[in-house]
Amino acid sequence: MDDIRFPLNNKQAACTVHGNHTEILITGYSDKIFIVVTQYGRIGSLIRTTVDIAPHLASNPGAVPTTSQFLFGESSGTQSDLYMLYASSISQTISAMNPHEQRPVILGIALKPEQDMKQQRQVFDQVIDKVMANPVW
Amino acid sequence: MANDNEPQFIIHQDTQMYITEAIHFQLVQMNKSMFIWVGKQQSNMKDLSIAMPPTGSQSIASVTTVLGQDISEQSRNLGRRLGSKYQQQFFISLDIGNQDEMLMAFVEKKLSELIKKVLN
Repeated sequence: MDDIRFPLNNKQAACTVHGNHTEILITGYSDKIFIVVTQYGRIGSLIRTTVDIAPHLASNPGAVPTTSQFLFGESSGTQSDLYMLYASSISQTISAMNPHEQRPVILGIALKPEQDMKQQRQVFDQVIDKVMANPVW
Repeated sequence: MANDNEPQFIIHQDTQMYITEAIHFQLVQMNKSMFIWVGKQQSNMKDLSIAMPPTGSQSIASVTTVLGQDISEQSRNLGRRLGSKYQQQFFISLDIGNQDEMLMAFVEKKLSELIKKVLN
């Protein structure tokens, strides 16, 4: 069994934003990329995102149009709108970093509600930074 | 208090040989919730089922498939059993085909041993 290596590629990260521990797990499967972003230690909603066209064919891979659908969890309301934004932004970040990446992204997410848009933006920026720092693509 | 910038999820991995094939197990331990993937070297996440622990007067976990078809109900059956036994949420993704019943029995047995070690 010496030449068999474990096939999944896992990257883990965490940060503290506004006092909230934010956990990030990224797992590369052959056919999908699975990402967990949570401030509750568990998955609240699951969203599947695909790119509408191959990013390397787009004039700006980082702005490639994406399609997202909720698989699990609340799917309407302002919090879920925010989650859709995370889902498409994360996929676009991946496309910008590797325009040949075509695997769908499954995002498991649970964030504490923030009223203030500036605070929301700070959480978002930190999460995107961590995703960019831990690629499996 | 532990350093809050350290990841808290614990990932457990194991590989078991089934006849000549390597079967890989990954368990991600989260907060009262566990993500389980079992698959072969080709490492696809083919399907995904979620089991929720029983609430109130229920004794059996409810389970649903959110990705793929799980035609043979392997993921759901497994999720239902684990959710009911351990009273927590389970995400189950199996990529072991649905032809071989003996392989499924092998996977269940090895998985039970792994989970027992992790959750006890």
